[in-house]
Amino acid sequence: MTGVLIADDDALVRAGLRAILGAEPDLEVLGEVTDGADVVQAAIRLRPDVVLMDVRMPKLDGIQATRLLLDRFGAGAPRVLVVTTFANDEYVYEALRAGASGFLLKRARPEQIAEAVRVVAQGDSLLFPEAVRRLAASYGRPDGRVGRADLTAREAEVLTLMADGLSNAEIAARLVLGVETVKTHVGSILAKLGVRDRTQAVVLAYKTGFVSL
Amino acid sequence: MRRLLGPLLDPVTYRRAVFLLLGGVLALPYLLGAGLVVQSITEGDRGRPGELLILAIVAGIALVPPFLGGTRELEIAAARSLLAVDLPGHDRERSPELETRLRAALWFGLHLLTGAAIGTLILVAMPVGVLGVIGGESLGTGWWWYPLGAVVLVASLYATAGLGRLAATMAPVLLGPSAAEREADMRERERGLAERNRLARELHDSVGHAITAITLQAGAARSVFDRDPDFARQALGAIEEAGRAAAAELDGVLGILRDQGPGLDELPRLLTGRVRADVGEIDVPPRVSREAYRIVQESLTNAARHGTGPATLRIRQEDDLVIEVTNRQAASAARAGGGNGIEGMRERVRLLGGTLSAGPGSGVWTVVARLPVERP
Repeated sequence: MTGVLIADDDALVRAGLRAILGAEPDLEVLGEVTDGADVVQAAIRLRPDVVLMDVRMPKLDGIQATRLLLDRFGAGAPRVLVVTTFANDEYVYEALRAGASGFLLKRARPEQIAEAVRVVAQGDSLLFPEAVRRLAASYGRPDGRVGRADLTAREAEVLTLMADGLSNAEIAARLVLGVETVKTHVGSILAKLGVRDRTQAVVLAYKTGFVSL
Repeated sequence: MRRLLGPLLDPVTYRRAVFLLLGGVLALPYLLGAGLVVQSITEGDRGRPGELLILAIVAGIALVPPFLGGTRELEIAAARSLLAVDLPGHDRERSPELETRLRAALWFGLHLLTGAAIGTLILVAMPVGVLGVIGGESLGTGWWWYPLGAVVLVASLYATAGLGRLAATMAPVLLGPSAAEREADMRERERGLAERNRLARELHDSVGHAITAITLQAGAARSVFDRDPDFARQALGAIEEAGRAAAAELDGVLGILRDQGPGLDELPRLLTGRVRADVGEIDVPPRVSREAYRIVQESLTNAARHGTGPATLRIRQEDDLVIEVTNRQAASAARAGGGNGIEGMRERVRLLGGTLSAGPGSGVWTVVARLPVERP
């Protein structure tokens, strides 16, 4: 069972998301908050796996709330799925930079919304690889902090495929490996890069120029 | 060779030549006037003061055209089409700065001088050259008429081409807007851009948000339709409400988009010396203010076009905003119902819930617009 916390200042959006996710047997809405300032408290109390985070909220926005959440929980923080009204919202990129695991358009179909929560919770593939690529393009010049030396050749290969948006199962098929082996590689990549999830690993890979655009 | 002959074969050269000749045509009245003055002074016996007076009057009259806005407008239009120069148009609404006027007058003067020179060249030197080439003997003695004729002919063509090119180069310098005017234009554009951005933000925040909420609610209602009909019913109600509110918001934003333009705070731009204005204390919403400005603008334009003497403008805010423009009718102007302009004004006033009347009465044309002022 995946527990979800909804943070959005619009009652209609909260009710809609709650109904959509509540209809899925494997997802459970643990609670709702109406502002970013309440997210950390609610997360401590409810222990959600995923936080659906609106970007613009009155007192504290979704980006700040994401930062606070990561500061408070560290590696064990709930995954943040940013929900946004418009696709070309620059705040989305800022939220990804702040450590969010993915983003979702509010106008997505109910099935897509539920699927996005699952993908983010499991962490075995990337939401919207194209958006992550665009985000990386906005970074400017790579700083080359992560050299190939840090990763084994196989891990480097896996990271490149992750950046292409492949899931663990797809990577396994491509490299003729077992899915479990791929998961091990992914885990070790995350550890070596010091990031907490797949999205952040790919963001870093682009940012440092390890994977080129 | 190609480069040498290029200017003579290029059609641009001949379009520019037409522009130069236009200057010659404009110079003709001046030459005529100058001739008459010289004649009347040399042949008349008015004595020194009389001669000076004539000279002063003629010079005064001659100095007016170069400084007129209309002259600048004409020169810009001619330069644009015949010299193919990219120039911003002359703004009739705004009185040009002194510097701009001086530059335009200098251009006008140079245009006349060059035009007269080129005209003389074409009317006198060229025929002489042609005659020299085809039949030097008829002009007099000497073999040297042949080469001289050829040289004069070719030189005239090159002179025309060169002066045409010079004119095209100088036009932006002398006819372009001044630095201050360019800056004002830029500020104007920036204001427009800022307003557009504000509207985009407004659409984003209001309508975009509402449509998103509607979509989400509809999706949710669909996915729980059978299991939770109560929620579905509630969602439909919410969708209806949000849709209605979004449509109203859209109305407002589109209204702003349609109504862009200056408002009454920019009224002084319309108040020239030919307008006697009596404007009271005014505080009206932007939409009314913009419409009022357009009514004043259009009425004053009509008054200047069809009326005689100064126009009178009176604006009062009672319950409604009342605008009254009167002017004495010119004897020749017999306007029965008013043209399209008045119909257009009437239509726009009606959209704001007001009334407009326009018509003649004992030699005076009167426009009265009454705009209701809704307080939000």
